[in-house]
Amino acid sequence: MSAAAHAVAHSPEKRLRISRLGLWLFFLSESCLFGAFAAARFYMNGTYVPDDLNQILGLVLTSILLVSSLTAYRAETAIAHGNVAHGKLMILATMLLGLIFLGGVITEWSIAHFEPSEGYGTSFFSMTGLHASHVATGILFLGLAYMFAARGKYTPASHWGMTGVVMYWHFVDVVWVFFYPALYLTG
Amino acid sequence: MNEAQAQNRGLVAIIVLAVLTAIEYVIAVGIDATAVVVTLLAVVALVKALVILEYFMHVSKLWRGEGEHA
Repeated sequence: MSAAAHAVAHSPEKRLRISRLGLWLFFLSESCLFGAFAAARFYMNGTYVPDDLNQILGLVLTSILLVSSLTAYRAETAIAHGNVAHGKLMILATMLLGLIFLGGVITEWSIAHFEPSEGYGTSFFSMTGLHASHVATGILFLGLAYMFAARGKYTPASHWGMTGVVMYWHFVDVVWVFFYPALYLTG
Repeated sequence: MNEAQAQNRGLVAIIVLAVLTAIEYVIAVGIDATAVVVTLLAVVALVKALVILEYFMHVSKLWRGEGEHA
């Protein structure tokens, strides 16, 4: 390949498309993983939900995660429009909400009246644990995005790193949109 | 779309998601028939996912350029 052809093949536009495709393929593979856990939950336990499951905490956790998607969206939108200061603030808000969510999950685990070895407990702890590990990863990625934003690496014309992190955060939110009713509401 | 308009789009999405979450909760506590509850919850969850995909993840504008942010 000549140098000119190589430059065209790896133009910023082309790289962006490849990055997007890679991210969505990753989401597809992750959907299979989360889907398998959700399917196992219904296969093992039907629609059973323990009567003493803390419904209010589940609703609060869901609300926190949904609001964190709004702050993540605001962060990306601000940076895409060159408003880095607001973008950084919203990244921090998203990270804080993510940490609160994780605290809520830990609280839920500590007060649960069922064991991981029980049928429902196996599903509950594995699904919330798998999801929480993705939230924790998202917080780390957001920290990196904050660092890059603070160093002025993102511009309105070039901010794929920020977009990719925020898309990942939204994906984790979409997973919870299905996990919440599957674990808390079907009974 | 300027920044304020784009940010307002996010507010619309979160309001829709909040309403759908409330509907979800009411369905779970207000209906006894399990099959109906599961079906309705699946539909609401699907709509919520679509709202996030479209409003927050811009899935219909996936192949736009980076400077063409909604």
